[in-house]
Amino acid sequence: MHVCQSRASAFLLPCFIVTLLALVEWEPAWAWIDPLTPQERQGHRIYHRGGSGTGRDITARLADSSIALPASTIHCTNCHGSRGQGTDEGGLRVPSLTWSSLTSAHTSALTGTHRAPYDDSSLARAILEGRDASGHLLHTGMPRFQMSTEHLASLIAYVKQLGGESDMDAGVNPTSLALGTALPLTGPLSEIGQDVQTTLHAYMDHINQQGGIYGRKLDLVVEDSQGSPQGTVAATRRLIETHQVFALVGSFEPTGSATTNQLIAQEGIPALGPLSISPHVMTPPHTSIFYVLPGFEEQARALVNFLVSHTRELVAEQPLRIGLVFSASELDADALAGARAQAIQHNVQIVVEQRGESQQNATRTLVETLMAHRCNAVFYFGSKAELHILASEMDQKAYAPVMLSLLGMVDPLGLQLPRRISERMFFATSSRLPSTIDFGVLEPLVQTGKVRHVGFVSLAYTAASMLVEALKRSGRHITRSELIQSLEHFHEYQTGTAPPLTFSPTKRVGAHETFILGLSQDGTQPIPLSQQRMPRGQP
Amino acid sequence: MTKGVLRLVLSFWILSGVMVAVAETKTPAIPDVEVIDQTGKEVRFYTNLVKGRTVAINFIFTSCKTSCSTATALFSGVQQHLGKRVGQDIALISVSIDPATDTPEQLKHYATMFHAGAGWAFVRSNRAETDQLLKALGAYSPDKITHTPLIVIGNDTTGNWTRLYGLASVSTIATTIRDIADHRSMPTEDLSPSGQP
Repeated sequence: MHVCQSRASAFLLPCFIVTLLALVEWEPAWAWIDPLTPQERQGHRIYHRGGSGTGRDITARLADSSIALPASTIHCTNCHGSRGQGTDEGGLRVPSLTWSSLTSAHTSALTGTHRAPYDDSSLARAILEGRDASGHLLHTGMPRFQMSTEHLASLIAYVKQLGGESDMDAGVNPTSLALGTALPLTGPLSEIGQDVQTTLHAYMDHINQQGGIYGRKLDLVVEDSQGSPQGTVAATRRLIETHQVFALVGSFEPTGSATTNQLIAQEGIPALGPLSISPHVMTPPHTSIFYVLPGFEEQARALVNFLVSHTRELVAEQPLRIGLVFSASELDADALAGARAQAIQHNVQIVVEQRGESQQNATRTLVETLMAHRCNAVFYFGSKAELHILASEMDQKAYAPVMLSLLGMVDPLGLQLPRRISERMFFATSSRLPSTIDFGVLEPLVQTGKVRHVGFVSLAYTAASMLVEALKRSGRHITRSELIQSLEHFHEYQTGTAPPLTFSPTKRVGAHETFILGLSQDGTQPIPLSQQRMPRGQP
Repeated sequence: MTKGVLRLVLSFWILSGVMVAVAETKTPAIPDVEVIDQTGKEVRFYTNLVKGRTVAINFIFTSCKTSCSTATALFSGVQQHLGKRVGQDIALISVSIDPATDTPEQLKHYATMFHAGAGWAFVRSNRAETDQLLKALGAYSPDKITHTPLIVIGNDTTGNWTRLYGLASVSTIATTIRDIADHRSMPTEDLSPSGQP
């Protein structure tokens, strides 16, 4: 937790620290009322996602094949459409599944085959055995599904509502849209959680005062995650299962949130702008999670690019000889991977790779190793405390390579590095500088100090802004998959609080700008680089 | 080698109102474009995947929200039907028609979902060469969403090629592949090797 806290605080920039005022009181949220029954809701999930999302409970098998695939890979929506409209795709005629068409007799214009009207039991047989209401074998493209009696009853109950007025995704009804966010409202990160809550509420109030989106009020449900991975899983589960939110917006994502992300991905819940210090994006990425800023891997790559493009100014003795000092956390591994990959790209030599040390003696040996290998640039991916020890040892030996690190990892506030080191130290960050952030309608909130964790507030604002824009683009009949598709079409979308955002079917990080910062004269504050501030060559 | 359009549509099967057509075709001139498979390996489409084998080729994209998954599931069944021959004299190839989106990682994830084993390659090329390949195989469609479910089956050694439109059953596809592989299909004079650039 302490690591998390110290890293989180790197988002804080001193000029924005003002007194925390009393939190705004919010009106109680109006509860979302599901137009579907719980049974129909379960059927909705089976129809659209092929089951509970675990991929195990319902299987699909094609005729002539004994291979049982998880129904999540071939579910009803794939061919019959999200409203049960059927398709005529590429000469493949897939019938409509609306209850009115199923319960009418049908004669094929092509073959003259007559099909009797379906009822519950013949529809069950079609799903399980692939025979129509008159006993004819269904087309080979129609899988034979295996599912429990309960699941089957739910699916049939839902098919009766398919495409109708009450057929909406969870969280949606004609007058409101339930949205969720998991935030650390208690625990060591509670100030951040409270700020984000204030921001999201204020933004949604502003939208609701204007009439909401297509006549729907935005209803934000906040669950306390305590800022821990376990708390975040539990809070997210409550948002999805108990509150049945349509989407997550600006949820706080602590380090080690793989389980939460799996849960979100399994259920296909759109998660917009999770507040992450360094998103760990899977390959391929989870399709429903949309991050705003790139993580440590990309930032480390930018650091290498910076070093290579400024070698002449920074390093007297060519060529570059890089030392990598790192700790063992997941985040540091991301940074390390980025630095290594980019060094290979530039054909730059990494001559030392070593774990950072917390003991003075061991650190002395580490510094001697770096010196012995004549490292003229050292990347540091680890804790603030270990950097302090490392810098002191370097200073004692009058050894001052170019030092490069990440602002989201090592917060230089109060670090008091020796002048020799701080003069030649650089940080990468993907957060915008506070002076360039435009908070739009929420500017008064920031100016009056009602929120003070400006880094997180700007991310939350970005997430809310993305949500509103994607909802507007999706139209009145909103589904989760349509929201995801709308986000995938974002091209250089401007929020004012983040660099322009671009997503695509495979791209789940919107911005790719990384800024390189130096340290102020007294070595305590990160400041933008300028020609005057470019450091001297190797001493 | 006979140049020109499809020679003969041999038969139609009417299956539950959906048409599956098999047509004997001329040997397609398969461009030897460079493709990347789901393991990230760069290979030549003709030289490494088609040459000397019987191949069944379908056309997919991983972000497809319609029948691609059924078409791919059919290949899973075919792979199981043909057993060890897949990876020996028979190869299954799924060509991405959306190369900009379908990274090798994306293809690998998709292949894993459908239990793809050895001898079943998921490949992508760049846009221009993908179009070149699709046109050569008669599978080009300007809009990926409306592409026709199609399987191109051919024996590079004998020069026998055929096509299945619509979604044929696993056994129909497997039988057609076996017939083509075992030279049981219609004798043809098109015995010249596949055209190379």
